[in-house]
Amino acid sequence: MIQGFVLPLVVGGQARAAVVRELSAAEFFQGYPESTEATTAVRLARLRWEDGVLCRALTDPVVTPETLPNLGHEARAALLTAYFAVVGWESKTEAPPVEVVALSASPAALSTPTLPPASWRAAVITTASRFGHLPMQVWRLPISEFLFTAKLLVESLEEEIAAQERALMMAEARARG
Amino acid sequence: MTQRLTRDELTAWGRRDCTLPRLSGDLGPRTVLVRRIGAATYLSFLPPDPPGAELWPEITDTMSDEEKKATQAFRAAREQEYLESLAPKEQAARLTAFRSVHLQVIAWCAIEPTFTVDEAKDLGDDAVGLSHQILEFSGLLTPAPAPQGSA
Repeated sequence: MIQGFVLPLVVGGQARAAVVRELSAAEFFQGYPESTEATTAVRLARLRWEDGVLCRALTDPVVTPETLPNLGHEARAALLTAYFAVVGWESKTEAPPVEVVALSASPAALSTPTLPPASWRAAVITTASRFGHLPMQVWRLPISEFLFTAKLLVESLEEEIAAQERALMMAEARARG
Repeated sequence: MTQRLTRDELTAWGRRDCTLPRLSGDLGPRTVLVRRIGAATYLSFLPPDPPGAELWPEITDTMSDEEKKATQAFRAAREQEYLESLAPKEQAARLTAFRSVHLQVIAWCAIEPTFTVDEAKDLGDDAVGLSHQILEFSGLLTPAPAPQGSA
């Protein structure tokens, strides 16, 4: 069983709810655009990735890239922001209160995952080696667990580097007398 | 407990009848049933950006309608400058590419009746208006303000 959430949304002025499942890190990052350039090609790649995240996550109602636009641009954006906040991808927005539901894993979550995008490979490998797992096990973690662990690891690595730099500076100061 | 969104509701919410003013004037009320278009699909229809467009301010969801319009106007002015800098043949090709965006939007979104890109040309003046209605319905175009002094 995997975790799912009931997210609120407004469609045609009516309050409604949709059930989304928590994707694995591999499913979440599928098609993730690496570039941050403000070009139409990158905007297009980002929109397609976001559409993909929603299509993979929404379980009730099920949507496809063809039926997702039926939500309208505003409801799509609100749903995406809520999902990103709930799983910890977007930390600027406060996550809405959600009802947690148990769902069965999708067949896609069990198939061989695609390789992580280049900018996330180090995080996967470091997390795996630090906690004694195979990188694929880390890559199959629910996205919220993966993001939490990766953020924690980056923070602790930054602290370690800062402590090493302080120790080096003190050693240099002692050497100079 | 909030009611779950059903697939039927989603389908109904994603469709609308759009009027064709010119044809309606000639033949009596005429509409086309359309579906919404996603931002990614619409963006894929647009011709490539002019060089340096990555530095222009972008229209974002967090902007107010006024900010969106101002940014839209800024981008349109830069696009116009770029167009005027092109050789006549390239200029004509770019204008044709922009005009065909409206036809592609109609071909993608029209449900009843359906249109191919070529068939959408038969809509004449109504093509641009219909494409704008679809983009407004999809939330991708800010509706034009009502003319000053209108009721």
